[in-house]
Parts: sequence; C-alpha cells; structure tokens
Amino acid sequence: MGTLIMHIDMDSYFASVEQQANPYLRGKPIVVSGRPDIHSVVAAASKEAKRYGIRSGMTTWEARKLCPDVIFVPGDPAKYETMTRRFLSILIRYTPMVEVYSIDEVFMDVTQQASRWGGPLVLARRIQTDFRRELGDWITCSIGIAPNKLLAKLAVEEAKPAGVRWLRPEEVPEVLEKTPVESVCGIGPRIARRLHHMGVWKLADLGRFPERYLRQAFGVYGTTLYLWGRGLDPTPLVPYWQEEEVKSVGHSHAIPKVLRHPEGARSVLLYLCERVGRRLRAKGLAGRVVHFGFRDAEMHWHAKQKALETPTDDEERIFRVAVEICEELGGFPPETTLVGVRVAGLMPKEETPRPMFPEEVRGERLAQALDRIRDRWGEGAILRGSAYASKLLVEATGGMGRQKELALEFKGRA
Amino acid sequence: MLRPVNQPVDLEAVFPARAPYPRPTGFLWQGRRYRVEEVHLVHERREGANRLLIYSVTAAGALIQLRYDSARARWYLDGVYVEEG
Repeated sequence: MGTLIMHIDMDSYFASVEQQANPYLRGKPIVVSGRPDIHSVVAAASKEAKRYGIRSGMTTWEARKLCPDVIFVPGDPAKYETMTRRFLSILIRYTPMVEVYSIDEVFMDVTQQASRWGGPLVLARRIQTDFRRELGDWITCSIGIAPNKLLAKLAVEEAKPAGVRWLRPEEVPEVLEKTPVESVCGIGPRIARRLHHMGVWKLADLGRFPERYLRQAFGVYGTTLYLWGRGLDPTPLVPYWQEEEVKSVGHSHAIPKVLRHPEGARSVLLYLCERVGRRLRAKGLAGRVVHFGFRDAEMHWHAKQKALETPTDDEERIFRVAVEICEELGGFPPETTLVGVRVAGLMPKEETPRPMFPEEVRGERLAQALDRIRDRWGEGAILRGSAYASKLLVEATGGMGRQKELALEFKGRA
Repeated sequence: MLRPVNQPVDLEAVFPARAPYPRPTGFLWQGRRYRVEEVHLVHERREGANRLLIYSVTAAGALIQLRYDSARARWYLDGVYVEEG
C-alpha cells in the first residue's frame, strides 16, 4: 500500500467547544466572535448557524442579518488551546508523525499504522470514537485520507461534517477533473483569476498546462501548481517534534472600525511590535530587516522594508523603524484597515553585538523586565499607555489573533 | 451567560488512571453538599505563572463553573450559567 496521509479537521471547532462546555448552547445557532457591538468578525459558526448561511470571516452584523436569533459567544482561546492539546495527545498515541497545521487541523502519516488497525477507514473511525469519548459528544472531526496532503485536504471537504472520506489513487484523476483551482488551499483569488485568464479552471487543467509556461507566469510556484494539477504534493509532512527553521517573526491585524484613524493604526502597530519583540526574545533571536505594511480603505496594500545596521529584538526600535517606513510611504491614510510588521534576517541574539550606549541598555532591560512581569502575571498585566489599542483588539477578536502563537506553542508542548 | 459567585468550596474528586485532570464528584458550598452529575468540559487557563483548571459541570440540575487555583491550592465555585434569551 502506498503513502496514507490523514487530514483531521475539527468541525465548527470553536463553536463546538463552546457547545460542549455549555449545554444551554447546544442545538442553537451560535457564533464565536469578539464583542458584537464593536464590528467584530465571526471566528466560528455552529452547524446550526451554518444552516442560515453564516460563515467564518463574516462580520457579526452580517451574521445577525442572516439569523436574528443567533447567539454571540465571546471567544475563549484558552479553552480551544486546551482541547487542541488534548486531541493531539490522542493522535500521537497512534503515530508520532503528526503535523500541527493549525489550531483545528492536523495531518498524520499513517502508512505504517493503518494495516495494524484493520485499514485506514477503521483507524479513522477509531480516532473519531476516541475524540467523542475523551473530549465530548459535541466535539467532532472530519477525516480525509489520501496519498498526500493536498489530496487529503480535498478529501476532507467531502467528509464534512463528522465523516470519513478515503480518496483512493484510482479516484484521483476524477477528483482533479472536478475540483476548481480556487478551492485549493494555497491558490488565492488573485492567482485563481490569473489562471482563469489562462483557461485553467480545474486542477486537471493545471496538470495539462505546460510546466514551462506556468514557471514563466508564476516563477518557482509554477512548478508547485503543475504538480498539484497532477495530484502530487511536493510539501513533506513536518511532524510536531521537528523544529521548523524560523525565517521571520511577524504579525498583522485587521483593524476594527473604531481604530482606523491614523492614531489608532499607530497604536495597533505598537501593539504588534510588542508582540513581535516578545516572540523574538522568547526564541532568543534578533533580526536585521524590518518589513512594514498597511492596507487602506480601498484595499490597496502599501509596504516597504528597511535593513538595520545591527540586529534587534527591541520592540521600541522595531516600532521606530516601522514608523519611519510608514512616513516614507506617506503616513497612515485617514482610514487604515490592516497593519502588519515583520522582522527577518534573523540570527541568534547571543551572536549579535552588545549595546554600547546607556539608553540602548536601558531599553533592553525595560523589555526584559516587561517580559518577566508578563511571564509572572499574564500578557495583559502591563501595557504601554500608547498601546491602548490592544485591549480593544482583544475584545474585537476574542483573542483569536493569538492563533499563530498557539499553533507554535503546541509544537513544543504536545 | 455566567453569573459570578467566586466563593471557595470543599471538593471531592477522583483521579482516574490516564486521565489528564481530576474529576470532581461533589462539593460542599455554604454547608450543603452538591453532587456533580456530569462534567462537560475541562480546560486550562494561565494567568502568568498561575495555572487554573476550569470545569463546566452540571450539579443539582444547574450548569456551574468550578475553578481550581493552583497558586492558592484551592477550589472555587466560579459561577452559575443562566440560559440566555
């Protein structure tokens, strides 16, 4: 038997966890979001809410319009983090080849294990039974099984909700013929539009398109597209215990309406720089290149990068450089809808030159003191006054913006 | 919606083999003993270095939240859920 990859996708994850925790919410249309009164977005909709057409990413206002009786539940990342750690601990009983793809999605290589359990379908059903018994009846998952990650992800779409779909090699050509390119994770709307202009609508069209033309149009990514079109996936499964090389550390955040003015955007930027600095220090890294960008009300993205003379992990320095870049781009517009900052060119902090000037040493000590306070008393224990946006952001998103950190933390703790 | 109570309780629990968390079976609050009928969900929350265990349980027909505070080594009745709408 060839390679067998399972893709495990938790059904309506955050909403199901809330329904498991609170029986009053069961069987009702619920939406996990930030505060609905400050233009938050839907992080997850229960299956009952999905019947009204409510989907993740919608605004809470749109959700209420579709279903006036919908119940808004504030997001509780600690709950979801615990449940993810618990379902990972179930999965690694079967195999250590588990890749944490996101907080609610996992890939597993079960090539060696499937036959021991009576085949991949029996193994999948057994995992679903374990989840139900150990996590609760309301927390269900769908499982796609296929020869690689790309096909397993396509298979899971046919398994939802709470089902299992095994895509056998002989079925692959048929699936490629009927799968639209835009439904593949990794092909965004812009690339899909370009492919449509080239006459490529289905995955199989990609496989028939000459590779050299795809490379001309998309560079190295063209080869990946070509392979996907032939049902192949060049990306290996990266197990949770294998450290991925960190190339950059960054954060971006959509800005709620109340903070879209230039001062608000600046405050969001400071908050993001604090998080980037904290993550760099936690990993013992410093970076030489600061990337900064923002999106205006017309959805145009403005971005630029700047190289520093010496690497840094200091949020104040990252913030100052980002503000300089912002001024070079003409400053924040009257309405900024998204802001992002990223530090690249990373190296171990201990290999970087020690600060020479007293004010640099003071900045470093201040950052370390803030880290110690937050380690001891929690992230919200101390904030810079000008990072006031952070409180509003956490309320607007229900803390969902921490997903990237959570997914990374599992790698160390699962 | 959780109606806060935040009062300490004396709690009875079992520690099932291979289970990640203790399982409350009953608690004593304001001189009365309540039997825990069902544990719906347990999750961890960190407040800096302090680790909290949050239990959503049904006891005496009500949906309640219990909390174990590891810094104080104490159990609390966090609150009682009331149905919305």
